[in-house]
Order: sequence, then structure tokens, then C-alpha cells
Amino acid sequence: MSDERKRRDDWASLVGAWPAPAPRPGFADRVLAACDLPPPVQLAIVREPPPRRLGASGILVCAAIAAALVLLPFALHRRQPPPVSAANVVTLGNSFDLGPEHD
Amino acid sequence: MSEDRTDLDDLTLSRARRGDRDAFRALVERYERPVFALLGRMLFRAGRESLVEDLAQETFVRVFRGLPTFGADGRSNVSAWILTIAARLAIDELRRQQPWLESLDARTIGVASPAATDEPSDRLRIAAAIERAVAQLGPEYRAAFLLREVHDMDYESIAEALRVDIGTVKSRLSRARAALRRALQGTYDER
Repeated sequence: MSDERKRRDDWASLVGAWPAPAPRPGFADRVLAACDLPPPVQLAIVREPPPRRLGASGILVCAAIAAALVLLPFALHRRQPPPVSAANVVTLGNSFDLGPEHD
Repeated sequence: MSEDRTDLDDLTLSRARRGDRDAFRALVERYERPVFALLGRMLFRAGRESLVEDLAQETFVRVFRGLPTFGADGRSNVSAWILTIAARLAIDELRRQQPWLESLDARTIGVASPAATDEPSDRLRIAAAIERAVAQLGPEYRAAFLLREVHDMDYESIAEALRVDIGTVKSRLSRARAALRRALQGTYDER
């Protein structure tokens, strides 16, 4: 070991007895912030919620109800039996013999 | 070199120069301790702990800004470059706080009185003696001594950091060592 090296080591060991301050935790973070370095991009899988279909389904339900209300009277009307009147009654098989015609 | 480790690897340095956040964080975490050690010892009587942290942060902000052009002037030692920035900031701060120190010649440094400390531990006594002696060094002497003896920088880098020639660096180092030897001699004599 050279004299220069030995001398420097001696001084370093002596000065080593002199405590030096150490950086507080987070020093590097404060430096990075001061340098305006952007924070790291964090990749994350974001599960998007399913598209809301309530509006569309609501419209469909309303349309169906409206259609039902419109069509219901017609449906009910068609199911009723036709009214029976005397003029419409044709009796078959029983004919009255009214006799010969007389002028 | 008591507090330095190996330099940052080339790949991380290259990424940091391109503005990679993680690489620059690695650079800060690699060099924050030597920077704090240098600034703490340069400024230990000149300010609070927050001052050391403020100047350390300013050091790394300047490093970040200078990284893209680092090496263009032939520099290759990242550690020496960063410590140079820190040393200059500390010297400027000391000059701002205590302009009278600039005119203080190292030959006027007195021998520290080891009896002034009541610390039972020898290590603490030595530390106290060094503190007292270094406290009387002007900013440039203090920086030259710490950069050379603690952070293992070569004369040329220290000359560049202090913006003086190599002969002046050697002269300041010699005077600083002599002052510290006297201080430590007193400490050992008392034991």
C-alpha cells in the first residue's frame, strides 16, 4: 500500500468518527417531485360496468303496454258472439202448410 | 473512500439521461448518502438539518438538468461530478452566511482544545476535535479536505470543483491536514 493510500485511509477512518447526517426517508421521492418527473404509469385492468339498458327496456315496456291498451278493445270485441235477432233465425225442417192459394 | 460504493452502472446511467424515472431514482439513492455526508460536514455549524436536505435536493435537481449533456465535456466520473455540484453549493452557502471566512487563512487555525469535551468515548472525542478544527477552516479548505480524504476525489477533480489550480488544492490540503493533526495530537496527548 502506498504512503498516499495509507495516509488517506488513516484520515478517512479518523473522519469516519465524525457522524454525518443521513437522508430522511422519502428523500428520493422529494427529488423526483422537484424535478417534475411524471409519476409512473400504472397499468390496471378496469372492468367497465355493463351498459345501462334500463332506458331502452323501459321504452319497450311502455310501447308494449300502449300497444296492448290499443289492441285490447279490438280483441275483446272480436271474441263476443254476434247478436241474435229474429230475422236472422232460419228454422229448417218445419214448414207450415198454409193450403192452396186462393185468388 | 469510506462512504462511497461502486459507481452507477452504465445502463442505469444511460436510462437516467433519457429521463427514465426509475433510473434517476436509482441514481439518487446511490449517491444521496455521500452527498449528505459532504454537505453535512461542510455545513454542520452553518445551518440546520433542513439546510443540508435543501442543498442535497438542489444538488440532485442540478444533476437531473445536467444529465443529458453529462460527458460532453469529457467527464466520466459521475460521483465526482455530483460531489462537485454539492461542494459548490455548500461553499456558496458558507460564503453567503459567513463572508469573513473567505479571508481566513488556514495558517491562523488554532489548535482545538480537547479538554473542552466531556464525552467519555474516544471516538466522540476525536469527532469533536475534528469538528472544532474543521469548523475553523474556510469553505474551500474544508471542501478540499473532505473531497480528498473522505470522498477520494483526485486533485484534478477537486481543482475543477473549487475552480482553482492543482497547486492551490495541494496547498490547501496540506494546511488543512496540519491543522487537523494539531487538533488530534492534542486529543491523544490528553489521554
